[in-house]
Amino acid sequence: MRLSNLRHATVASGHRIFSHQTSAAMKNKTKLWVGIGAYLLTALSPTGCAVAPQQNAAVSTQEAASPGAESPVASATASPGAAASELDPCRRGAGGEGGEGGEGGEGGEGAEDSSAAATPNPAIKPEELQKAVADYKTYVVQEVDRLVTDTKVFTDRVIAGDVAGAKAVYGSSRLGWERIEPIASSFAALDGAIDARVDDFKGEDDPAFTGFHRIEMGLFKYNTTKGYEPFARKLMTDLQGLKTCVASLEIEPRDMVRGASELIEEVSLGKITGEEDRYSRLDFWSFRANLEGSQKVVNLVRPMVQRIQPTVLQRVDRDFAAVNQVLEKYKLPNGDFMTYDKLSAADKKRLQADLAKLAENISKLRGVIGV
Amino acid sequence: MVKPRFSWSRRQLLGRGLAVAVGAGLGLWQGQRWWGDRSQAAALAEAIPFWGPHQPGIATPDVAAALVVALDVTARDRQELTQLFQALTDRIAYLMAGGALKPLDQRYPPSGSGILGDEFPADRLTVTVSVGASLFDQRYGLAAAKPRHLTEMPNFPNDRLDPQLCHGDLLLQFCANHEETNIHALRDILKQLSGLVVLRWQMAGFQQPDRDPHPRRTTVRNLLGFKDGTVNPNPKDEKLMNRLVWVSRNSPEPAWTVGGSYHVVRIIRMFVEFWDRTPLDEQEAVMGRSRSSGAPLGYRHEEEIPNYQRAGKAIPLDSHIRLANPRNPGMGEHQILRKGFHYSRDIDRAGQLDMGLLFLAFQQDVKTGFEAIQNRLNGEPLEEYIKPIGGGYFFALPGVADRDSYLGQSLLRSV
Repeated sequence: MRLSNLRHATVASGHRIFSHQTSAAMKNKTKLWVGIGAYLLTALSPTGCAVAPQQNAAVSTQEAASPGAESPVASATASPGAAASELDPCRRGAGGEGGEGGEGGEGGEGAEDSSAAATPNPAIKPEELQKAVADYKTYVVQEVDRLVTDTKVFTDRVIAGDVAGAKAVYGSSRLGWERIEPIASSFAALDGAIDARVDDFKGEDDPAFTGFHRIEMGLFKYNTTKGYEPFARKLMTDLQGLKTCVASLEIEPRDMVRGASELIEEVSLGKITGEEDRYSRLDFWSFRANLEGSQKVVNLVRPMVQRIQPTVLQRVDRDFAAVNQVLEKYKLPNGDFMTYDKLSAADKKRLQADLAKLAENISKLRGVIGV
Repeated sequence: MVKPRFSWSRRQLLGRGLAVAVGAGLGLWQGQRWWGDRSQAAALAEAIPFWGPHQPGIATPDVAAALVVALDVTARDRQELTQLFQALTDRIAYLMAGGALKPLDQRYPPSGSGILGDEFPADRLTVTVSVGASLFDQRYGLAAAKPRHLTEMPNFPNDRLDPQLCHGDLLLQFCANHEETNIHALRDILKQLSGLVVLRWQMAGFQQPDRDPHPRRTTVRNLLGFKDGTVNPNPKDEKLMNRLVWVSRNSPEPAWTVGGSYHVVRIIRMFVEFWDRTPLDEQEAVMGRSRSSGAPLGYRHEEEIPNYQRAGKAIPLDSHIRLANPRNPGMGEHQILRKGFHYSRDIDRAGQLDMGLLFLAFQQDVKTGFEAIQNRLNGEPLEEYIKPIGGGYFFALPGVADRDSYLGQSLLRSV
């Protein structure tokens, strides 16, 4: 979810500039220049470079402070609230935004506040939306349970030195994570410890580089489990931490609906490139799991959207079908997927196009539901 | 110490200081033309007409910012392809006219990027749509309608083409007074065309438009420091444009192409560090002109036409201007309408500047136009200092006659 973090950070810096300057009443001409100026500042802000080192620093600090123990979740990004967050492993970071508006005090900008306070479409009964969110919470908890169970099999094999056995379950072990990624990765420190990629660190040997992809590198790039046992144990500890955090999590309707979009953006930015599972080439697994997680939300809000704007629903369904149709071509008879390097250039374009369309249409759901 | 030639009054100082402060406060440190131009408001409001026999952005006077974006078409069939061209037409007409973003319920994504504010100016925006040879493959049944000389751009001897910067089914050429206007239009169009196209490559260019338009003179210089475009045909000369640029009824081309033009894009890297370390006399011999005045070597004025019979060796036989335009009888037929923009984007792996020329050219026939010129230039001494790295051959569609028509209509209806 690094890409997603980065996106939020950039948007946030843009907001600050705008809120600062649009407060005065301005003539249209001036507005244009402000728009252009703010655009330039935003585009040139060094956020893109700043995010990764912050993550590095955060995770390294935590490593040094308490190696091995329950603390992988202890520290977070270098934000003003960092000190407090060390006490709260479940602090939600840039990835999910769950706590951003409320606790920050610096957020207070027009657009965000108003959407937070927005009331759902009058055609929706409050209990109807509550029910959907409760069902989604159940789904998230189930998927975390599945993730913990499946990853236990995987990490046990890593610890036992069973390279082939571990490779065989790597792709399927992560499905739970990928289905609920917007929720799971909203715990910034956990996300960094569980699912970060080598690009987020100084290099392959960076001790802060932990989690699925560190072990994936050992298995698929170096064909070994040797030396990766501590990472396997730490991964299980972090996943237990995730389970704890999720159990006490309150999901807002907005988080749920936004999550449907975020998963498609994640696929369009990070999965389509094949950068996620670069050693194993099992990207199709994560790809499909992201789609499933998004489709789950659409199904939960389906009756409401059907009642209010059926055309949006039809389009979203059609776009999901189009993307899934391409993925089907890469399925093996036993239900597994081919490796991602088999993806043809033509199908990659097809996926890019269909995902862009899906992303456009699914981005209307928040408006339809009114969250 | 040099005495100032004049001193500013207090009021002037105050005024200028304020302008600088305001400019800096708004982040407008892009250069004087941003805040120093009194006709700014007028220029912003200025709209280029969209409808007509030819697309805008070709014979339209040059502006400061260009953006070329190559797309691959992912429309599933002819029907979706038609939908693509119709949506593109609507959107370009809307953006070129300037206007206001439609306000929406704020729980929906906004109807535009807003980078120019809720009201966006026309800003002399043009968007020119061209098709590449690959659009005429088996996908849409257009093979029979392909313009006669439209091929994939060949690899010329000095080219080192980066596949990530070449070719494409469609090319959108954005030109406007400001880069933000181009980006605003691009983002709008991509949003409207989601599912129907994917991005292939893009390149942004900039220039100081000619401050003293003249048929045989220019104030524009390229990044090698030399005047560029001195002999460009006058785009306001309609007769000349009909002869050199627009495909006409007499052209041996499919009927749908009348009013269109072959559109060549070349991204030409310049090795500017090397060039800046080259003695001036060698630079001038390579180009064939004086760097300072732009005059052909041995002449005094830029607008003088060199007589190669009499010029002797003052202008080397292999100099750029002599090869590009040997001024043999009949050469006038091979002239092209060119638009040169600078690009500057990166640092290469050797730690050198990656900048150069974003070359755009329009002509009635690419074989006797750009390709003939390029073939004469092959092997020129200038090649040591330049390296074409990307681009493509395209065909700029005929213009849109009226509101009931759309871009590409004549093509889609022809087969």
